[in-house]
Amino acid sequence: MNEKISQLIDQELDPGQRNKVFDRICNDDSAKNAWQCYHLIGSVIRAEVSSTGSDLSRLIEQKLDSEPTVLAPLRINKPDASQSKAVWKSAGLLAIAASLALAAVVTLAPVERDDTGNKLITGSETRGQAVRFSREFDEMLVEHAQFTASAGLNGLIAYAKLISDQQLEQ
Amino acid sequence: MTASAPHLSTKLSSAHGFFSFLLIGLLSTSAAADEAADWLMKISAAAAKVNFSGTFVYVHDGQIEAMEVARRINQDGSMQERLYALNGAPREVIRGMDKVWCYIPDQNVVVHSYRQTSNNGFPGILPGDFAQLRRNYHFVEGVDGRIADREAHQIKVIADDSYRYGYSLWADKQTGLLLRSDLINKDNEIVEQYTFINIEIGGIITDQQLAAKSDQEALQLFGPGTDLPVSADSSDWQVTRIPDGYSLIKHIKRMSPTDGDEVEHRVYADGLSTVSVFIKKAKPGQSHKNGLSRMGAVHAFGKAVNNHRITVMGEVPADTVEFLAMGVRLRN
Repeated sequence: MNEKISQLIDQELDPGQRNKVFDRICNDDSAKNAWQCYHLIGSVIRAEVSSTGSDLSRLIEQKLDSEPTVLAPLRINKPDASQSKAVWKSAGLLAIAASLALAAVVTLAPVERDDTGNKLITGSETRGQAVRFSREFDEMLVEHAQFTASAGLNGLIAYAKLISDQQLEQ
Repeated sequence: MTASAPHLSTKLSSAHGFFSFLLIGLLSTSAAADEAADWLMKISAAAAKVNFSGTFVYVHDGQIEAMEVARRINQDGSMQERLYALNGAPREVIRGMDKVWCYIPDQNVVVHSYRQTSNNGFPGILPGDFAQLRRNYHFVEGVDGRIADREAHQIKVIADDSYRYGYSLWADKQTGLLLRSDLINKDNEIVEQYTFINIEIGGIITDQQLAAKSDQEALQLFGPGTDLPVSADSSDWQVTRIPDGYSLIKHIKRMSPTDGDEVEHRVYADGLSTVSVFIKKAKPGQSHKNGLSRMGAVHAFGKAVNNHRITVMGEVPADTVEFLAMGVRLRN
């Protein structure tokens, strides 16, 4: 999904895909965070952070405000003090935003781990790989299986999933 | 003028021949569909009538897992079954009249215990259900073959859109029991398959064959969960959109047997495919899965909304779980 959001920002999606991604952003907190994060990075690069208005940008600004202003040596075409601060502030923003972006990417990366540390496969990376879910997921599978069984066909299969050993290919 | 009459007659005759051919074709297609539908009912009925024991393989994600099964239909029509994994951890599922025990000894503590929704778990597919099924699937007669040393007949259930999988089913000719099932995606690929490699149909299934091998004393027992009253109006949540052909068949609220927390569970079905929506309050500091996950044919989609965890899962394509998940919202 992060890749799709990135493609959306870069205007690389067709209208159908675009609507789907907008749908996710509107309805999914993690997609919304990723959207805000990508825009923040773009804004930081363009030194427009204060105009983004996101919680993350406020956090960055607060951090920067607590930083001492760096006084650079005089140059021939010396920028005034406010410009100097703005340049360093942008550089600082970029560094902090980069570290936060890294954290955000790690948090939002498609390969996740469950409570027991097992790898979960998501999105397009799922094909051909096995997973073992958390106990909570197992519990939901059991609850779900009751109703799958009532379809009358694959009750046996629904329960086979519960005892399937999905960790063999981890 | 007279010269054109034979020509017209020939044309009419050709047209008549063509429409006759078309009509016969349609009738035979319809007859084949009816026959496939009959087979589907036979499969469904056999599941609730026939004792059997045997070994089947469950093939998914490039893995082959062997499992042992014994099922007994008691005189009162109730069903008892034991399912046992022959590879990896010795997990087993025991299904009784109104309970399911799932033994997962490799997780050391987990024994799940739940009640089922019906007395025998196999209410079956009734003729009336086909009207609904035909809105989302069409049926095709397959070929004859041999599965687990038994004569079998194939029925193809083809999904009409990408919100559900299709099936290729092989039924035992003599009893109708399902011997092999392939789940087919929209690209005509087999997503998962289960097929018997040996089976004994009929005969006596002993209590010993149905007894759990796991050491219950060594495992921690969870459940069953406690049901709470719920209705669509009383829920704080709404599912604003449902994929075509699916409808709400169950709405439950229960206390989770593993952590005691309240879980709202909605079940949507199209007659063959089933999708569950779980809504549970998020716990601070607890890790959760966001986005899409998959296990064999099961897709799941997780997201966070207003400090709650939404999980949608089912043996359906990724689009179906995502579509439903995106429509789950807090009621205004």
